Amino acid sequence: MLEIKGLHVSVGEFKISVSSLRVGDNDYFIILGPTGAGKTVLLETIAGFHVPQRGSIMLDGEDISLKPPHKRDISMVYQDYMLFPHMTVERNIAYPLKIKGRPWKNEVRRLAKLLRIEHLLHRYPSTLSGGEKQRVALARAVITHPKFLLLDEPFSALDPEMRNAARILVKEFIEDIKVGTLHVTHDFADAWVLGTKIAVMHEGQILQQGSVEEVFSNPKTDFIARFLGSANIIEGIVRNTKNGLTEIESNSSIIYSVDLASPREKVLVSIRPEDIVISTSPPSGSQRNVILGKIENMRKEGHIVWLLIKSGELSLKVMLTPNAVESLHLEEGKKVYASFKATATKIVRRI
Amino acid sequence: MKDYTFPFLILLLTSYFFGIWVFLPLAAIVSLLFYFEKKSISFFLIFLLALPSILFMPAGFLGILALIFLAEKDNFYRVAYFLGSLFLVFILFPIINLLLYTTPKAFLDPALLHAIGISFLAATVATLIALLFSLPLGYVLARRNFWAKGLVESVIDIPIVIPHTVAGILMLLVFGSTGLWGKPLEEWGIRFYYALPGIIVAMLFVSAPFLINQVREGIAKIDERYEYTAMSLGASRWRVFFEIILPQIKGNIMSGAVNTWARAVSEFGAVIMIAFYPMIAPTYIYYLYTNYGLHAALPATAFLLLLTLAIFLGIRFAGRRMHNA
Repeated sequence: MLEIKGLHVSVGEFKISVSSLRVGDNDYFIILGPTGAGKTVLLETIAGFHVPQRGSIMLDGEDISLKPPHKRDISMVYQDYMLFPHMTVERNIAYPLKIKGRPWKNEVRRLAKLLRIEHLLHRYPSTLSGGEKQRVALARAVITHPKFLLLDEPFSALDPEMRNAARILVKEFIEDIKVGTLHVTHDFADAWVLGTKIAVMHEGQILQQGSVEEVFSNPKTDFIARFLGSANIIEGIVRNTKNGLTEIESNSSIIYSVDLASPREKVLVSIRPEDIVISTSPPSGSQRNVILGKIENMRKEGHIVWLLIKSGELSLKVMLTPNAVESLHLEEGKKVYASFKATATKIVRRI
Repeated sequence: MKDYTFPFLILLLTSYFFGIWVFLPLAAIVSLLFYFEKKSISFFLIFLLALPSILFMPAGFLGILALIFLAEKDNFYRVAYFLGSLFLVFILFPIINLLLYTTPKAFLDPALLHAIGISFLAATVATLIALLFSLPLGYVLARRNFWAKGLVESVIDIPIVIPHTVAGILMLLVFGSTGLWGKPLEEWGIRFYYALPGIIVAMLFVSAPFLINQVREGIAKIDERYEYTAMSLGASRWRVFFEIILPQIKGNIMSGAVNTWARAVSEFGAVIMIAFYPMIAPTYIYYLYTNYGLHAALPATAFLLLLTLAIFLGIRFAGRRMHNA
């Protein structure tokens, strides 16, 4: 259990103050926040690279805030992995065990096998792809069974199309080795796929923390709402899969997705607000998903207009231009058709 | 296809100053080479235009101009090649000219061999001491920001910019037999004035900045997060320094050490101020020149030049192979 209380740190232009944060040993805790929120500095402080001005960092009941980093038993993985360029992959992974003077050959083999990097052991880091580097860094970070694992934007150095596979690999790996993990990111997808708990960080402060569903469905402040507002997250149950289409039931509505899942699975689905088309008559296009609902709320924000559409228990956030709002004569209370493609409907997590 | 124009221009221009017996054969070789390379008979103009040098040496210069005009089509490069090669000749001609005085006699001069031995020994010790200081100093300068950092960095460069005789006097004043540090040290048996330690401190003073700056640059280029990562994996700061930093700045240490050693071994002005004896190689050549004249000094000078060039080229070659490996 990692517990932070009344922590104040200032490093360069970053000022962080976290009044309270608790991460359990079985949590995969995600701190979500925009660039510059101070997420990396927070991790570095927990790892011991910066001395806090005030406050405590407790690990399993012991205050570690003044302990030197190498005695904390907390491993940190940076976004660009920081593999030691002068060591082979094998030496990199073995390094923490060698420091402790423990045998390493078998343990390196075991982890390499688990992460499917056995064939890379004799290569040097400069010859690896981003995904390979990440797996090596993970193996190196957990080989001594640290009490905690800190991940700093672990997927941002990967190609976007590789990220999802990497997330699933990391998720399964962390579940396998069972280590409390604190992961900071600006990418929502990390939170949906991996997080058991999340917190939102802004300008050095934690604004809200809780389960993924809780925080996404009940943002406490305007900032959180705006920051998280860029997606609709819907919980549902898979009814069946036919011809490459997955049928998901959510709040008595049916949503189709091209992402595959097995029947009776509980899933989280995301639909981006800009992918939803609004019309006043039934749409004639190819959209698989058509939902008839009522405009519950309309809010103008710069050059976009946010609509909240309600259909029974289901609510959808939609993003439109002021022109579209005008030409469709939209107003609060009006009935509209919200339609979106099955390809725009992503299954982000199986619960 | 490789471009031979510039190197052969340098060769031809250098040979010109050694007279027709060197110049004409080389002009012939260059003509043939370019004829075979570019399959154009016009390159024989180089040799033909060089021929009149038999009658009147300056006329042969036309052969050199022919090479520039035939082998290079871009006017800008023609001018740049010509002016650039002039400077290289300015370095190469005197060197080759001196090497012509190499005689086996020099190998048999025990005083010269002894002086070279002292030079190499003192320069090596000075380099090792410089290494000892450059690691902590380079680390502090690369990693920490502090008040007046620019000033501290300037202090390190002072020995490079002050005249070497001045540097020698500075050392003499403090390390001399009556100096603040020299006097007590001499009582303990370490004598600097007219002794090997004096040579070493003089060399150290003028040459260490090269190593310190190289080490600092090397460390500054290593992302500090490598150190953080290693610490989080259980490595103490000492371990991180020796196992993560040091292996990554090997190249900087090597090239810094080579520069420092080269600077130390070529030092003369600072060394003679504190220790004319035991003689280092440059002092010995100065001694031969002032006591017996230029011609007496030439064989020893040529031998020293040859040796220095051999070491310099050897290290460059080894360094390049290490780099490519």
